[in-house]
Amino acid sequence: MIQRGRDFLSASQLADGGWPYRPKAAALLEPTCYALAAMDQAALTKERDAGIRWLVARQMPEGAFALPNDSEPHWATSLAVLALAQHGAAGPQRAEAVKWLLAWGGRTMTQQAALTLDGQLVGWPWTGGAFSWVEPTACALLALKRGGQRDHPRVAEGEKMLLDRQCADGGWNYGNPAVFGAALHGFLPTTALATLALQGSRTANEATRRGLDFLQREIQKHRSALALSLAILCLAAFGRPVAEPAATLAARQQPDGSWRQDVRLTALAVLALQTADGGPNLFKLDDAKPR
Amino acid sequence: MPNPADNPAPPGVNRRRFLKLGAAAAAGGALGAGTGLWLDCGGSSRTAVTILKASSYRQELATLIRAGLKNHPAVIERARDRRVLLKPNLVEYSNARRVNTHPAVVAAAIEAFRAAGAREVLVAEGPGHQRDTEMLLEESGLDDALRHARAPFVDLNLDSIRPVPLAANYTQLGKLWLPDTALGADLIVSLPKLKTHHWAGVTLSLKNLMGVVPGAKYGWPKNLLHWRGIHQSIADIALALRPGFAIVDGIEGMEGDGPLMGETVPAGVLIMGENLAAVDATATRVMGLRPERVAYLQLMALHDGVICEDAIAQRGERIAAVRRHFKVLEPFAVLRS
Repeated sequence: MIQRGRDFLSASQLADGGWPYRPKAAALLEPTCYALAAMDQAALTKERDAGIRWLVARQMPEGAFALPNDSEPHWATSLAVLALAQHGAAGPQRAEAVKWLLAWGGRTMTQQAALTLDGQLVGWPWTGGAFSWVEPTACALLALKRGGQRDHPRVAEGEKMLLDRQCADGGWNYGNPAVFGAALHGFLPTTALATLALQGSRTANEATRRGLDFLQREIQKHRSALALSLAILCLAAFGRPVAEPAATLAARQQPDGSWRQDVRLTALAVLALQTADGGPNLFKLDDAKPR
Repeated sequence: MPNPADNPAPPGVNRRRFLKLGAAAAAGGALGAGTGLWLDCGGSSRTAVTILKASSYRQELATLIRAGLKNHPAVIERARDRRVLLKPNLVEYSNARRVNTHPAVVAAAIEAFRAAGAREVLVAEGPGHQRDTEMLLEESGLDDALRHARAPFVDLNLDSIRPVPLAANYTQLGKLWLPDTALGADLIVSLPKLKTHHWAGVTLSLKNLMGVVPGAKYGWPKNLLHWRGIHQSIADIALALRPGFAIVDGIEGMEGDGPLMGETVPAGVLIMGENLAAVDATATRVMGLRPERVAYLQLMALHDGVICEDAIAQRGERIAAVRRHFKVLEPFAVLRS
């Protein structure tokens, strides 16, 4: 099952070494990062090396990664750090990317009556010139922690920003717990990433527990590959059981080995099933216990 | 927010009018509503908008839409033997029925455009803040509807993308990355839900186009566009994409704290036409609100958008026969008639 997923990924890789979201489209950063991370680490394959070369070629002089034919820093820079670290590749390039992440941040805003969040907390944005949101902040925290920056003040502030954005139901959505007094609900994928990003935090025990409870509760109701994969990776990182969601995820694999003919979903499903089988976890930090 | 006064007037737009309206739009963007500065009806010729009564999603909607399309022979001609992209509003899996364009309306539009002779009809959307499109498709019921109709779905967030220069450049971004699938379509049909919106006032066929902007570049949410001005962004996207038709799902609309948390209004209408500003202006009037106070409609009136009631040839039902009075949040009280 995992090998069939990897076979789909191999078949979807483009001649230039990158991966698209959908077969035959153009290569982009995020699917390349996840597909590369999902490649077998034990085998030195041509596909893996071509993927690393494609990714490294996307790095700009300031350390950020950019889309092909673009010159603006891209939010998947954090994922590039994680994917390259998974293969122990491109150490100097990863160090430059980590340095850039520490200097990059979202814009702040003054308190607005419609919102309950603290707009002064600087996390990480999707694009330059925009506010900070949960997913890019969670991925930046994971990359920085993996890159040896766990004690950096930006990491502490990023964790504080995630705590500020947790929804009343214990989950996280894109980054807004309430608007005009109405509580918004959490989403499974962002809850998994935010909870993973809080690994090792001194101040997030209760928030982490609520996030994990949210995942265990909600995963009973939803069956999408993205939600299942990220929930498995998160729950497994904290030692919670994943056999049931893993079985559900496996059952959704299509005859061509993919999940919905989607490279990113297939890569995440491979990563999740590999973790559920006792293999490595892309998002698990070596020491997940609170510092 | 960029200052429109720093911007050269777009080609074909009178600079003095542009500056006055630009200032109004920028203020509207900051406040979340238009200022009420009435400048122009927009457009130079009358355009048709059709209003059809439709009380239920269970009724024969494809027949109704086909009948409505007969009022718009130019769009039938444009769809024939061409690739038609239907862009519904697919936002949220919780409270899906009240938030999203209903799958029955999407399925009916597929059938109607196929009957009009389209070579290919596909459905495409790039949800704005929910990355789990598979969950959205499944739990909204759209997945089943598309499987039944054998129509493909393209997630525009994850498509191949390329930069497109912005002719009007209200956002001052200079260019916008857009999905190849949308840029390659012969006819884009916007299929929004009839809703109020807590940042833009109303969300209809033009605001619905923000879902075309790819998350692969701009993220979830596409927050840069909000910082560059919602109204300016809507105008830039519409002018870059040039959608050719719209059908507003107003069978059940949303009032108050839209686009997600408002209350359902059984408005019982479908509203369609080629000029999206005219469709949105009509839909806004059906909601009992004033379109000339919606800043992005004012901007579109500087181009070929028609928003003045006198310049719109009304087909089907009269506005007065279907008008409801949608509640709006206090910052948008200015929109009330």
